[in-house]
Amino acid sequence: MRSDPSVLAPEMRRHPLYRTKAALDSVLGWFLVALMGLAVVNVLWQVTTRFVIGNPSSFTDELARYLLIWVGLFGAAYATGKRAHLAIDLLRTSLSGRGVHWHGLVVGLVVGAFALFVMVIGGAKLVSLSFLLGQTSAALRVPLGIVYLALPVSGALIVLYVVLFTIERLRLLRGLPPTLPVLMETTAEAYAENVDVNRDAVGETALLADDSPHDPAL
Amino acid sequence: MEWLDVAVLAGTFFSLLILGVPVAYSIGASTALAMLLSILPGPAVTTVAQRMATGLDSFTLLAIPFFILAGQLMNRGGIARRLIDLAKSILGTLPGGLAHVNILASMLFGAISGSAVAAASAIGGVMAPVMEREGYDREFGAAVNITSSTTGLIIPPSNVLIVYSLASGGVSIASLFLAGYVPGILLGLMLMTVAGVLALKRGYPRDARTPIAEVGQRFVSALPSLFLLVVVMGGIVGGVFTATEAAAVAVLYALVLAFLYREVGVADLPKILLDSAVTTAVVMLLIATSLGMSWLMAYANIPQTVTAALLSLTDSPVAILLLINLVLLVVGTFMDMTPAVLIFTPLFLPIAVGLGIDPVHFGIIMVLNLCIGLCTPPVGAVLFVGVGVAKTSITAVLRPLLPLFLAMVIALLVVTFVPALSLWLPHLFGY
Repeated sequence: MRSDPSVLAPEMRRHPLYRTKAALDSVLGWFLVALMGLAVVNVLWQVTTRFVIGNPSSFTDELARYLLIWVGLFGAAYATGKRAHLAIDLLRTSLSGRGVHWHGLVVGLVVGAFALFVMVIGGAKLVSLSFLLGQTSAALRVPLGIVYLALPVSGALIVLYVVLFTIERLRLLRGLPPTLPVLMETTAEAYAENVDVNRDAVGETALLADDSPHDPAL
Repeated sequence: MEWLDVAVLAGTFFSLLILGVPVAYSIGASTALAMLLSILPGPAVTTVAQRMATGLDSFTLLAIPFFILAGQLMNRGGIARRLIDLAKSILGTLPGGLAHVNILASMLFGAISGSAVAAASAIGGVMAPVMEREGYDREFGAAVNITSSTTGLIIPPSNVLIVYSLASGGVSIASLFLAGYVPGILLGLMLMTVAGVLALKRGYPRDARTPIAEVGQRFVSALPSLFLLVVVMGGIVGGVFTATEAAAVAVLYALVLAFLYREVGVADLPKILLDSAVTTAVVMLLIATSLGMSWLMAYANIPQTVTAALLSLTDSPVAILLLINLVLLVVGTFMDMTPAVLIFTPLFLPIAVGLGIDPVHFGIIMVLNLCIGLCTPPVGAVLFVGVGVAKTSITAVLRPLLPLFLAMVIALLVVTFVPALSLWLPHLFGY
């Protein structure tokens, strides 16, 4: 019996692929919530110390900058898992059936190669170089290598997402039932209804195949 | 300079873009590949990785996630409704009243949320059914909504202008924000003029006059949301806060307001923080990889080459400005705003400064220009969302969009060639 490729069968939520991605999303999601919350509290603390106490805190500026690097990079990994990064989808929307999956495999190859060579390998070299030179930050005295560690770690997470997507695409090409909602192609109408009001920041929207109804993270 | 590097960079970038690789990864991968041609593989990947990390190492950039977060908190409830009610009581009596209401509400909402897509979706979502019920063409309403949502990117506070400040090497944010008011309002008025003429021609209805007491009442109900703009802009222009601190205060203000209106509970906060983090990360990865690409272009002396090439064509400032605008209009149709600003500012700003154009003025020209691209196919985020909420199609909305595009282009030309429109307000405040 062949299942409908557009519906996630309830039993597929016990599939290792589904559970791996759900666990990854959940851990990364809560980590991002903590980083964002800390970033806000940190800058508010800076304002408070300057105006109320009259003695500006020395570490907040630095902490704010490092938090942004971490939110940016770990968030980029999470967004890759949600397929929230902006892309021109003219080619993909002109394909159908198996073509979509072959296309997804090729795009995944490029994303995975960038994450592996630049973020993981290049990032790891940068981290070891920083430790070797003994670079520490001015106010917090944190080794810069720890700050830069976000590069190889988030790069590895992106590679992991790409691997999960690749396995799923190969499964789908073999006609097996879907396990990852985020790869189930949505129609244009569904997209318009799923568009999150504030997905963009600088005037652009993140084209996302929203799987929030299934999102176990939050 | 190595032409091969440039060919590889541009060729790879456009191929990946058209293939459908996410824009940020297309930029990063093509940069890394072009860098491999000139230096050894080890140093090449380390350099790109380092540019990514150090590119994000900026206190100013942190203003962007905070404005996103404040926008998310403000969007939760009746703010779009309150702004539309206010706009309706002021402009409803004009011919094609609802079109003007849409434009004014978009300007206010766009300024508060700092997001054109949010404005297109929130204001358009409410206005589309109302306009259709009162006899407006669905496509006309969608076109007005799409074009007017971009005004919020020019009227401060504006995240794109923060990105421009970074790309230009530190043009004052307060100055850029002040410079955005007049051009943003001018764009709104131009759109209203075109919408008004079309409404007269098509015989669209107008509202009865609203009693002044009711206008006041509606203003009071929208006041807490509008006051956010006063806190942020007052703080920045008055030199009380940096843009980042002002944005953090805006988060606190929006949070208190959302709790008071009971639109947000503590249980909603993790989801709001996560949504903001993801939106932030999408922009930050674009910024990180774009900065890598513009570093490589500077390394290969591309800005100097472009300058020399442009100046060899003509040395008339008017012609060069027109040429730059033309290039940006084309770029804007297929490229998103953030990478376009980060990649093209280092290329064009030196030429503009050489012609005696103020960097603040040039920033406004650039953003206004790229706003047009947000409403055009093939890649136009605002167009997609605007068409989506109005339940129409891109092909159907193109015809009514044309006269509005014309208004935007005229506004662009006026802003380009009348520097005082941008610079008057910053000068008034002593910048």
